[in-house]
Amino acid sequence: MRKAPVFCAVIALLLALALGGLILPDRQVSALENRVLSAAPAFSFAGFADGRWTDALETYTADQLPLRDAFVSLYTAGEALLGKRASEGVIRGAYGRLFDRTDGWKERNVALNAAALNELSAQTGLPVRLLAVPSAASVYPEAVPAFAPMADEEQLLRTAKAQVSLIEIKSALLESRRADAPLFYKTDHHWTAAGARIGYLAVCEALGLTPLAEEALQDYPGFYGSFYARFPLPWMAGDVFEAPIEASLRMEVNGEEKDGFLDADAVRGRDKYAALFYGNHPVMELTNASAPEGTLLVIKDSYANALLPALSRHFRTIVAVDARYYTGNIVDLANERKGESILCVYGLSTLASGRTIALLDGL
Amino acid sequence: MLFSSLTFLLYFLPAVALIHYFLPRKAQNPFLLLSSLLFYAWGDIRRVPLFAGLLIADWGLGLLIGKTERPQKRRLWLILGLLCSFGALLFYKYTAFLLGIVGVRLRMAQEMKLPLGISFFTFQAAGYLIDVYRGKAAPEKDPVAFGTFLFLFPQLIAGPIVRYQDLQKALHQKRRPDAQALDGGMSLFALGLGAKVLLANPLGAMYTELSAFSGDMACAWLSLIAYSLQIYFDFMGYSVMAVGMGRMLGFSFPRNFRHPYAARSVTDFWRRWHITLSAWFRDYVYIPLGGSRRGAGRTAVNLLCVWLLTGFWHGADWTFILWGLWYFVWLAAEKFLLRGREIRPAFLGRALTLLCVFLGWALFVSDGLADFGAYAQSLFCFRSGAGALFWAREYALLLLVSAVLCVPKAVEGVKGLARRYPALRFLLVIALIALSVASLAKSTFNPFLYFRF
Repeated sequence: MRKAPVFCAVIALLLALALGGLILPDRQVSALENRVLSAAPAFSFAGFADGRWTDALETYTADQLPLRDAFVSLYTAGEALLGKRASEGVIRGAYGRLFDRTDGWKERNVALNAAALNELSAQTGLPVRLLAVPSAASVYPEAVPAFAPMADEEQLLRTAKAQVSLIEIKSALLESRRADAPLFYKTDHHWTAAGARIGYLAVCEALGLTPLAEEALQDYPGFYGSFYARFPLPWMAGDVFEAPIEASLRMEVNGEEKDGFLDADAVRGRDKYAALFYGNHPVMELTNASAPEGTLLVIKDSYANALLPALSRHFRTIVAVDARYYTGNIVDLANERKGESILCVYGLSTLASGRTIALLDGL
Repeated sequence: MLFSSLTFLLYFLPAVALIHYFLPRKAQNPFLLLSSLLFYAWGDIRRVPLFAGLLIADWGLGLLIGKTERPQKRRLWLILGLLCSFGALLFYKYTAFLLGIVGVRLRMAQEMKLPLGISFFTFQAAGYLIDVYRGKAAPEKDPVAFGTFLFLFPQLIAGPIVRYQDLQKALHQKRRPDAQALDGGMSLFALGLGAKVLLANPLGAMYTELSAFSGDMACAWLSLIAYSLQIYFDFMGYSVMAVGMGRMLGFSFPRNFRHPYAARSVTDFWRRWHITLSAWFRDYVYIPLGGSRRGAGRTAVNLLCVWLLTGFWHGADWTFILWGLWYFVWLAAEKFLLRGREIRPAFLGRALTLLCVFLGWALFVSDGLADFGAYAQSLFCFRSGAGALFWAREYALLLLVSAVLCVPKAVEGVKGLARRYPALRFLLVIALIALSVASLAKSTFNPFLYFRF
């Protein structure tokens, strides 16, 4: 056997990976892939007999593979070198930009969600406005590969507009493109502070508010977002995450007050956008005692998180409901909180890939 | 357990290869049989009774056939043995389909999971019994050695279909593969694993991606090319892994593929594709029926029988039967119209063969006749969107690499270089293993194609 270098090397390599995975302490999360890794499955005879345990062992082995991050990067780098531009629902574009693959978006979902907002307006008697944040692909079309499998976002917006009062921002976004202040992150699907600023100006116009001057921003370099987690390329530079410094804003989640609205731990990690408002909550309440206006009910997904700090300078109370996680009755909530109007801030992606608003209780 | 899983690669393979190497002769067969049992029961323990039942039945009947000289008794035992093997196959694989033909829908039959590899080891068992009956093989007295032959894990779930005579000697001696066998076996294994994980899996993803665009001719053809390459690299990969592991364990398995997409005719294709299955049908069906020695009419009938069975062997559905018929038509045409002449120039013969084989895969991959109808419509609808351009560029390099690796000279060239420069072989093998591990760790797309076989 000593004269069989290939055999010995491969067996040694495989055994080292096997033993390393079993002996080294398990990692709980993968920062690179931004997900929880699986833990060692407890053995049971029933689980072995029907394959649950064996399946779990395979997942565990993959997740706790020594040098997993290096192997994952090796794989995606290999894919990219083979010329792959679509992987795990992400499209690799020009100028280091990644995009959502949007051909799975459904017009029907947009129509149902928009109709539900219309219904909410009818039941509460309050005006409802929808700010649908387009994808980066429609703002940076020149960076999208030719003939990439993308949805027709114009058509989706038209569908929404047929049902509900739509705050249009796409043309404003296109006009505000500047090389030094990108409107969307390259490694994440969300918009930047600069992008959200355009959204803020449009909301002010729609609600009849006088826009305030731009707040000071704090820079946090080393942001690797959701796209990167799915298509990590070793040579890709991270984004600079920007968050407003908003001293007067107080936030409450389930009646519990938080220390500021930026999660100091999360902003040091890779997925920095999740630091805004400590992530997503079914309901959260933002209060600003010195603001001039009363109460605003916001139906939101994570796109709103970049916009809410600026809006909170206008409203004493913002009740923000994340339609994806909220299980209460939305009509009751709106009547109870006696807001003056309802604003929906949703990514077009969330609006078109699920029926989260249409499925809200009460609609 | 599948070869292309981390469980197999990281735990099973190194442990079995090392322990087997150092075990004394008497312990090698029991160890391999137990390992194969564990390999087979992995993920679904309900397969164990079938494993044990067939092992005992075929071993016992083989002994009985060998023990008596009386032709009637020998025939009786043989028929009983064939009933066991083919009965198990019929029961597990074809019950739902056959009942469906007469209009009966039994829930139990439809939910029955096909035991992995059943088509392979039942054929191997049947071949063994026939060979013992014909006096071509001596019956195996040792049940452990027999079980090791029948269920040896490298060839258990996707072939090659091995003859007992080919393993008999190795089964009864101390297997201590030399350095050349160990290194050569591991190199083959790495090549097979790479073919499966690094080519077939991405090609399968391409097929899945593109077959979603129904009604787009360019996408339909791209998806068909992707599937045709996928099934080749997948199946060939499995066979090469089996041969490689066999060598590491001291066995010599027959080669199952010989550059099939370089074939000059459909007849030639079937001499190069799944060689051990064609050989099985030739030796145990075609020739006993009289082969081609009893006139043109009888030859045609024999061919028809073989190809209906070959089609049906691949899956219990009308599409597979039609797929068999499809080959019958072309093989009969070549036999009776061309009479052994080749189409000239050679590239035309190759192109026509590929067209015929690829269109055959359209039947093969379709889930029922209605599905095939839709696929065929897409293939010949003469309509295409611009989306195909994106996907053609997306997969251009993968298709190019795969196509080059279908060319015999290219593959032999790489193998020649690896033989001449051991350092190059070493690096190539390590790279293939590392990339495969990376792919298995990251990618969620790792299909098993032979669950219908």
